[in-house]
Amino acid sequence: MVKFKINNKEVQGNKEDTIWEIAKSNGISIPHLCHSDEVGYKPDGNCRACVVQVKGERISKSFY
Amino acid sequence: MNTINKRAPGRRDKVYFNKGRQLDLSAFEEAKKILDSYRPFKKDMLIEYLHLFNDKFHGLYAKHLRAIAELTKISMSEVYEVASFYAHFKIIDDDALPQSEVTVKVCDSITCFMNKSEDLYSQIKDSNFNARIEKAPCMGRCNLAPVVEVNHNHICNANLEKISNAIKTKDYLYKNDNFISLEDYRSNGGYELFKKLQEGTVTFDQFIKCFSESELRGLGGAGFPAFKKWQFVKSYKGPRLMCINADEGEPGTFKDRFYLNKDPHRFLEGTLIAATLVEAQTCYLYIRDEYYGLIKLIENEIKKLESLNIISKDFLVIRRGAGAYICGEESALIESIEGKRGLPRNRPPYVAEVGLFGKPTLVHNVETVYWIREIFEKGGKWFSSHGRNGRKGLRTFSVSGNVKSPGIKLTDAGITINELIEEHCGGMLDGHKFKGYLPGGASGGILPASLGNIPLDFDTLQEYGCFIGSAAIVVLSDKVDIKSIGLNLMKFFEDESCGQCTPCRNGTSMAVKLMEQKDWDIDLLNKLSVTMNKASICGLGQAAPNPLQCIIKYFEEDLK
Ligand SMILES: Cc1cc2nc3c(=O)[nH]c(=O)nc-3n(C[C@H](O)[C@H](O)[C@H](O)COP(=O)(O)O)c2cc1C
Ligand code: SF4
Ligand code: FES
Ligand code: FES
Repeated sequence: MVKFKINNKEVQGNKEDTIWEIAKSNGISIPHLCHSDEVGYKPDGNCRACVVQVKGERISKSFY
Repeated sequence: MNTINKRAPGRRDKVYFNKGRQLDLSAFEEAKKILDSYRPFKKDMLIEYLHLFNDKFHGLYAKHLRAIAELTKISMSEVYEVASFYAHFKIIDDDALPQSEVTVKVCDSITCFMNKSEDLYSQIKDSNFNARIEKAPCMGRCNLAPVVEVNHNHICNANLEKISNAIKTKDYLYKNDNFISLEDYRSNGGYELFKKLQEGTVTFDQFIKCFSESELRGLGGAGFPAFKKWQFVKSYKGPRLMCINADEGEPGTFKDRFYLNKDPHRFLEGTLIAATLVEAQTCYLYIRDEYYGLIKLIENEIKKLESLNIISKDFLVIRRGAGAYICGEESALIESIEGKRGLPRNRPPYVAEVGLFGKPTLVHNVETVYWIREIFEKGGKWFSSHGRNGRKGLRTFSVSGNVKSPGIKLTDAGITINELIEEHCGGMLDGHKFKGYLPGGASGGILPASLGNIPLDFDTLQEYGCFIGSAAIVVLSDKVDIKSIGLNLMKFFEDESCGQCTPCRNGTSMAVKLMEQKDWDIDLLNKLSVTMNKASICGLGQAAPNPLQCIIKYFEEDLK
């Protein structure tokens, strides 16, 4: 389990999950284009619509 | 045309011809002959196969692509996808006229651009040579700009006369300078250290100690401490692999070419030592196609090592690049060695853990391994005892631009640009006044002369929005137009973006459009820069706005 904050809201999820998935299961929707969370869609991560700022990281990320 | 044309049975609304490009039997026979000695076919060899056809027919005919697909059982779409990604592959229609055997490429990157390569290009265009005439990025000879390639022949300080002579005399060969031969290298204790490491008389731990003292960092641009990389790679379960990055595409950089040519065995021994340290099974040497003659040189020297049983056969494998700057980025390099388009990977996982063919992989720049033998022999402290202005180590600067004697300058890390120009470059060209400099090729940003006293090293330039990268210094004088420099650099990134992610693909081309305007829309350019820097997948898109941002920050006067 991991716990962290998105826009000041406490969220939690599995360690293996992506930020995007944890956000979703906590009722926060992050915009996305090249991904769909249906079976058979892997997070390709190339449209970059879903990037978020992670505190302490130079470069933004969402799936990774 | 001789095609196999069977009707596809059993489908409704079938068409009366076969869909897709059909196999041309004579092209198929041709392909069989060319590729025969390469059986069994391997997917990761696709780029090497394509080179064979591209060299022989001066381009890739569609019928040959189809034949390669048939023969190697790689899908046609993948063959086409790979072939069309790389600049050095020219895809040609089957019914096109026979191609000229000569391609003239005019370097349009930064230093050549400053030396009027645009004009040269138009002159060549107007001269009716029977040749394909193209613009191309940096060829690693920036101190002798402008540079033109006639096939593999690098013509330095090029002019129309030299070019037409080369075409007339069919002088298409890449020429190497003299180099230290295997005999000479061995008579000076060469390959002794490698032998000792293999025999176990020196150990991994000794290397780690020595290289942590030396503080040798990766010299390809990212500056990651070499010994830490060895520890990381080794900590992952084998089998492991190694790659040498000899793609040297950063405009302004030519140190790797210099070292590969000067003392190839010092480079090879360093490679072998690093490979042995991480117990790599195979080491791939990815060398850019522009250095064709160097590929041949290294190939030859490897054969000698194999015949002397210094290395086992196929331990060192050469892979030839095909004209893509992005393949210098380590994960794109790995994709390219796997025979694919050079698209950088998302991280994590890092290549040290999941790299080439999914194995833990050590990737090193040419110069990083070049230093290994000397540092171990002289001791780690010897290396870190160099340096000035509070910095440690030696640095190889590739200097080009408006100075009297540009070239390779091996000197202290932490030297300032003012010191470098005065002590090593004979000062500015007569009549030129120092105005600014690129501290790290196209990606490293641009600094003004007023910041000429910053120590040049890793970590010292960040606060100015710059980095040293491969230590490619381009010196600019008051005679250059800063805006056009910025535009030239952004165009380079636009051309070389792999096109995978939106901020970089669209960002670079949008920035080019904005920078072509007489008045720059600073607000919009700033926003664009933030998006590119923060959201791009790899270093290309992240660094592309550096020069632009520096111009906005330091060269306000020139924007008026
Ligand atoms: C866009 C881009 C281009 C690069 N080009 C090169 C290159 O041409 N040669 C090189 O050695 N490293 C290049 N690098 C750095 C490599 O990704 C990698 O850091 C380096 O090869 C690691 O070797 P080192 O630790 O010995 O420096 C490039 C990085 C990026 C982001
Ligand atoms: S930043 Fe540019 S070069 Fe890097 S992956 Fe994205 S599109 Fe490709
Ligand atoms: S949805 Fe496209 S990169 Fe995340
Ligand atoms: S050779 Fe033209 S800029 Fe490097």
